This record gives sequence, structure tokens and C-alpha cells, in this order.
Amino acid sequence: MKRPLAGLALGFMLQPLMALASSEATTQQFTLDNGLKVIIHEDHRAAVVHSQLWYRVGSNYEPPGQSGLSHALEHMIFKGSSKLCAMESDHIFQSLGITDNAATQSDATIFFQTVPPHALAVALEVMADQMSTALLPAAHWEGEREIIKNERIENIDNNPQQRALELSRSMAFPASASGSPVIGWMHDLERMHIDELKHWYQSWYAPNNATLIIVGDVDAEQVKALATRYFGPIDRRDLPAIKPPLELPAAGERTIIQYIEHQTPGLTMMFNVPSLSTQTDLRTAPALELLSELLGGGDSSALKSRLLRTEELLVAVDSHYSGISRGDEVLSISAILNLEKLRPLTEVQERILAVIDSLKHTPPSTVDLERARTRIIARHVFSRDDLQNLALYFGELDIAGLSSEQDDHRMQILKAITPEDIQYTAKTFLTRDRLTVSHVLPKETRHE
Amino acid sequence: MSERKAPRFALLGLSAAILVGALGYFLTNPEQSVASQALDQAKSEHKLQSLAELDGKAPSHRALNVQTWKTAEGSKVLFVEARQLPMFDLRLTFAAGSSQDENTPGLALLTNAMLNEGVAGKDVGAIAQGFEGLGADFGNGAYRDMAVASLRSLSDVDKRTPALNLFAEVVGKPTFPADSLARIKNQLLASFEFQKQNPGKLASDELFKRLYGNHPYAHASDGNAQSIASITIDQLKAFHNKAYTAGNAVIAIVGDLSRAEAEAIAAQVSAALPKGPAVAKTVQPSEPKSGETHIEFPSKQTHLLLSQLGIDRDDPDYAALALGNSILGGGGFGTRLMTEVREKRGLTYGVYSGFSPMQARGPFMINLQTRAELSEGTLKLVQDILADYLKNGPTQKELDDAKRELAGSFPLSTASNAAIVGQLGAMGFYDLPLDYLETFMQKSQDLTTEQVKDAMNKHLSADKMVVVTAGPTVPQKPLPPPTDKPSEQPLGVPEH
Repeated sequence: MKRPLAGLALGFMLQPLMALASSEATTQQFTLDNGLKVIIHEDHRAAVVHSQLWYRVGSNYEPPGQSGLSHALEHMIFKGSSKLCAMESDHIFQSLGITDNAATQSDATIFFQTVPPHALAVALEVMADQMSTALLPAAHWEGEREIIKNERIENIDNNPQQRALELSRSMAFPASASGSPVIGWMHDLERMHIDELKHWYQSWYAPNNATLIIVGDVDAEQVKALATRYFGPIDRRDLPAIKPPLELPAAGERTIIQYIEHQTPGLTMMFNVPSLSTQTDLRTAPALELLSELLGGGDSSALKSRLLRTEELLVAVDSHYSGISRGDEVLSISAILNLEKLRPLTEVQERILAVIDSLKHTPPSTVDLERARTRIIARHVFSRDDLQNLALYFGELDIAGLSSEQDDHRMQILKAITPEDIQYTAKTFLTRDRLTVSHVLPKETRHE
Repeated sequence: MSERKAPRFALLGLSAAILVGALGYFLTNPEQSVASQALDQAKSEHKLQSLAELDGKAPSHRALNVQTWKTAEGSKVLFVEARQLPMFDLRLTFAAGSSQDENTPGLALLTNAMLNEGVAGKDVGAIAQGFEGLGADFGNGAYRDMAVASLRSLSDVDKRTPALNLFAEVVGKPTFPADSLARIKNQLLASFEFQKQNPGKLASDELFKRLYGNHPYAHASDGNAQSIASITIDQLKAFHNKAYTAGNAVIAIVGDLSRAEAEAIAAQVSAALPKGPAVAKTVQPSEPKSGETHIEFPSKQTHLLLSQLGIDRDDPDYAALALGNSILGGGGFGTRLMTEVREKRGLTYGVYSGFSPMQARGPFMINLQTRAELSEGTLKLVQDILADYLKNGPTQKELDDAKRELAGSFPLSTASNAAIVGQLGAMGFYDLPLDYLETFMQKSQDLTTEQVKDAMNKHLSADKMVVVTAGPTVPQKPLPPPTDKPSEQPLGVPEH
């Protein structure tokens, strides 16, 4: 990320961006001759437009030794292009009342602005210029590297939970770069050279590797004209071969124990599972979404009612799964232990597995399943209230290679999932040989 | 690239020059004109076509149609009808924040956290199942001035009616069960342990102590281990009876409802609350003693907090201070603090300043993290930037840019139901007029550089800051020089 934006980068990773019916008349999609895909959604509730340019490149595209390349490139894009001096776009945007930022995730790099409708053309021309003529000046790289290192120290190294998550994710994805940290390992940042960034830019910043998403108070025809005018002249380029990150279905149970200063004991459990893109049975991803909701979604979920409230072993527990991904995924459960009733992590882990096992032995009650389903469907409506989230959702779907029809279909399947589907899915996927367990303990308690 | 060697103000001048042509603004600062002429020449073939073509029309703002009335029991209601999505938001705001804690820090927060733990015939699990089975979200939170309880639900009457019935019970007739109290106390005690390991939280708590002394804002809303452990069920009940009354409540409603439906909702909720008047307003704090406090903490980064008492929500200078602050460090990239500390020197990932107007005077605060060995130099740099800004005020261009930025981002303040219900809650709670947002916007657009400078100086003094730092004690290094000219070798001499 260019600058801290509460929750956004994390949101991509940890929060399911819930579905919405995108096949309405107000959403349009087309592709320019050079391959740039454009998605436009009109919503005239307020005089604002959210514009986002999504590139299909992120940390899971990066080879070993070059972790953090996509994120560093995102920072350097602002250091000048044919029509812009370094950081000039910030000043232009600011003077027009445009707020902008950028974010990198494992499978995408996103540049986004919130724009007064009359100034949308400026945002598009700036992004088009950055797509085609970024200068990536060597003289700016050393300084920017320091900013990125600060970002890493502030957000990862000084944050015990993020530190623990970074390493355990890299274990949960042994066969792909999906577990590679978005910001990059510190030693890779130290040895990153500007020429690598230039090569990365040449490889991936092409119109045929990007999607422009415009949501808000716009006229679709005018947006089409603007997008064609500013992005149309950019040439299509050959792209490197793109292969979705696939994982070993059952790599074996993996455990990592980390002792970190200033940490409350906690654990994360990640199960290797398919996504909507890699599932072989259309019920798998919708069932996993419901399973995650049943386990640790709302306050009435199984883990929260049993382990947090009844047994009081935990002070926080959450479960997360999003099937919207171009490669394999994990269903993850994170828990923080109750220091007032402190039990060994191994014991707590077994209690969590016992709750999961109960769903393997007995299907969930119809009432419990309906409640989980109702929550997901209600969020489907609620998520349309915030247009920036709606735009991000369109982007997530597109990056995962999913059409809005496929997304509608997924909701239809979700409505038809039975208690037996849940039981079968738990038995098949929430198994020990798909499990990565991360224990985090305070450094002081280490006995050697 | 020649423009990398150009002085910084020249780069600013470039965009100003383009805007002069496009928007008809007249710049009187000769320095900027000269610089921008030079750059204009150098870059004439490159400038953004879209900027030149901007027709200069001001961003439109759709005024909210806010309806307001009082319930029979005395709750103030604010309502905006929004039919686009089949959902609604209900937000109750009570003057029941930690400033009402008196001698029991944490009482307000614990009362708020216990609302959804039990009602007649339902325990916490049944309440959660009740809301979640309807797809409804219940939310709660307690802060220094206020405590909030909210409901987001589908507007369909089959879902809405049972969700509202449960919400009215939870907010108006909570039973405060003993087993829940023990569990939530444990969670709070665990979070205190957690906080001991968070230098940012430690620094912030210390700063409020320094700023507010014996004032009710001095203690953190979540209290402390001793105070939380001592709180009884009777205290919670007494606090609820005093502070969750209809007379002490503001009811904000936004969504897919008619006026009649909103009136029925407000009447139902208000009637469910304890009867009683509004609590007394929080008194103003006295001036703190300036100076620096250091918290020793074994981290790589040092947290720096610089603060002074700011303003209350009624202060007539709010618009001038908000605009003045947006130029200093209000969050964007082009602010003075962000430009000097991050862009030119790479000392931090982010640096921000802000006023928090509250019922009584809230803090003005600058916060950032930097590497421990550069913390002293960075603190001095930030203090110098503030002093320079107070002494000289904003430039005309900075002010014009800030006004346009405000005008452009202003529609966001009411762009979603969630945003609108938050605005309504604040307007009702702080007794702001219904056209408050429009008035604030108009006042901001009419300000001059002198007015902004005067307002900033009336409320802030560079030498009266209360400073709290949290980090390790390590040998200090000089700051790197600013990189206006990044092609030159660093000289290793600090600028200040």
C-alpha cells in the first residue's frame, strides 16, 4: 500500500466480500481493442465516483528472491511518467478533490481514486499515463525503499499477529507463491534493484492485463468514451504465461511454533481447500463458505458459543473463507486464548478440532444452517450500501476469472446446500493432512 | 529527467499553472508564477489534456432531506428516507460514554458491552441467534462522550418487526446476568494484558492523562484492571437507569422506510427505554502542562505523539481549523507533514494531524512512528514544521487546493446509508442544526489564508505541546537530508 488505509489490505485477505447480483441492467462490461476490460456500474445516490484500475499481478506471481516486487512497483509508479513529475498526481488529485491510493495483494495490484464526477477524466488520464510511460527513476528508488521498509516494520515486524501470520501462511502454501508476503521479506527488499522493477513493469503493466472499474454517479456512455480516449492508444503486449497457484491437496499436518515478544498466546489453523475456480464439484466452495460461517462467523456460531462463551477458553475466535480466488485457498480459524483461564495451546487446539469433528459426525441442524445462510444472503444486500466495497467486489471477481453469471450461480447453489453437504465437505476438507497449525507464545515462557 | 532537479515549489507550481488556465484561479504568489513559467515551458508538450478541458464546474452536493421530531418520552429523532436498497439502519446515541464514569473507570463501557448479554427469557446465545437468524446486525460501542447501540436489518416487515422487538428489549431492558459479567470482565482483563504490549496504546493512554489531568476525559474508556474487577451488577443497572433514558437518547434512522414507519420505530424504541432526562454536559478541561514524557519500550520503532487541547464541537473556528489542519497533516499525501517527513526524508510510512472536537474540548494530535535511532531528529523536525506553519500560515495555493479537496470529498460524507446514519447521530448528539453539513461546507469555502492562520494560532502554540514518546533508548543518528534533488549524494548533515 502506498499509505496506511485502515483495514483495506487486510480486508482483501480476511473478510469475505459478499456477493451481490451483478447481472443488473446498471452494470455494463466491455473490452477495448487493446484488451483492457472495463466494468461500469451506475449508482446516483451521491455525487461521487470510485475508479479503480486492477492489474493481474501480485505477490503470488513473484519468484523466490524477488518477493515484494509488485508492491514496490506500485509505490514507484507515482515517481513520474510522460505527463507527470514524481508525486505530481497526488497534488493534481488533491487540488481537484480526488482522493487516491493504491494497494497490492497476492493476485492483484490496484490503483484507486474517489472522484468528483466532473473530474473523472483526469483520474483516467493519469492512470493511463502511468500504465504506459512510468519512468521508474533510479534516483527515487533508494528513498522509496526506506519508506517500504518502514511500512514493513510498522505493519508486520512490530505487529506480533501479522508476524505470526506471515510465516504460517508461507507454510500453508508449500507448492506455490500464495504464501509469499505481499510486502516482501526484508532481505529481498534490501537487495531489490530498480532494473528488476522496470522488468516487472514491462512484463505486466499492459492494457490486456488490466481491468478498469468505474462505480458511482456516472453515465456509462461517457465513461466508455473517456476510457477509449485515454487507454485506447496504449498497445496490447504479449504477457508472460500465467498459471493459477495450485496447492498440494494434502501436504500433511504442519505445525509451526513461534515465540514472539509482547504476544498473547494464540493459534491459527489453516486447511488447504479449493476455491470457486479450482473446485471440481460446484457445491464445494458454497459449502465451505457456509461451513466457515457455521464455525466462527456470527456470535451464534459454534466456536463462539462453545469455546468463547461456554468454556471461556478463548477471548476471540474467527473463521474465514473466501472462494473468490484464481487459485487454491485456505479456510482459516484464528483464536486468542483467555489469559484468565489459560490452557495449553495443544489442548485448545484439540477443543477446536472437536467442534469441527462434531460437524463431521452429525450434520448441522436445519435451524443452524438456515441462520448461516440468512446471514450470508443479508450481507449480500448490505454490502451494496458502500460503493467502494462494491467496486472492490467487482475487481475481486474479475481477478478470480469469475463472471457475474458464475457469481449468481454460486448464490443459487448456496441456497440449495443441505446439512449433509456440510457434513460431507467437513469430512473431505477439514482433515489433519490438510492442516497447518500456528502456535504463538510469548517469548518469556520459552523453556530450553 | 530534468524535473527531478527542480525545486519542490516548482512542481507545485506546475499543477497550479494548469489550474489557472483551466479554472480561472488567479495566483498572486510571484515565486509560484516564475517557477511555473519555467516548468510550463519545459513540459508544455506533456501536460494532461483532461486538466485543460475541465469545465470548472463545482462538484454538486445533494442536500440531505433530514426530518426530525421528538418522541413522547423526549428522544430526539433524525430520519432520512433512502429507498434504493431494501434495508435500514437504526442508531441510538446516548450521552453514556466514559466521561460519565465518575469514580469507576470502565463503567460506561461495561454497561454498553453487557446490553446484548441477556433479556427476559433469552441468554446471550439466544439473543445472537435471534438477530443472526433474521440476518440482522446488532452493534454497540462506548467512547468518551457517547455510547452507541445500532441495528442494521432488511426492511422487509417479516424481518424488521422481530429484529426491532429484540433490539428494543436489548437496549431498554437488559438483565445483566452474572455469568456474562464475569466473562466480559475476563475478556477486558485479557485485553489489558494485551495492551501492555502495544506501545501505541500505552503512549495514547499516557497522553490523555497528561492532557486532561483530573478531567473525565483523562482515563481510557475501557478503564483499568482494578476498576473493572470491582464493578457490580447493581452499578451497571444504576448506570443504565441513569444514562440509557429516553431523554438522554438520540435516535437516527436511515433506510427503506416511510415517515410513518420511522415514527413507529422511534416510538417503540423510545418507549422501551428507562424514563428520565438527559445527563449534565461534560465540563471544560483546564490547560495542561506542556512537556515531554518518554515510555521505555523494546521495539524497533518509536511512537511520537504531540498534542494540545483543541476545541469542542460548538467552536465557531471548527471550519477554519479543519481546513488548516488538512493542509498541515489531515491525511492526504500532499500535506506539509507528509511531504517533509515521508516524501522528502523517508522517515515514516505515515504522519497525521487532527482535531477531535468533542462535547468538551477534545485533543489536537500529531502522530507518527519512526525508526528509534532517528526519533529525536524526527520529533524536532515535526515541531519545526508546526512552528513554521503557525508562523507563516498556509499559502493561497494550499488553501485553494484544500478547499477543492474538501468540496470534492464532501459528498462522501453522505454517500451511503452507513455514512448518513453516522452523521445524523453526531448532529443529534451535538445539537447541530439540520443544515450543519452545508453550512460547514460554505463556511470552509469562504475562508481566507489570514483567517485560517489566525484560527490555528488562536488554538495552537508550537511551544505548548504535550509530547509522549514510546520506544527504546538508543544512540541517535542525524536525519538524512531532504531529497528535493535525489540525484545528488547525501551529505550526511541534518537539515535542522
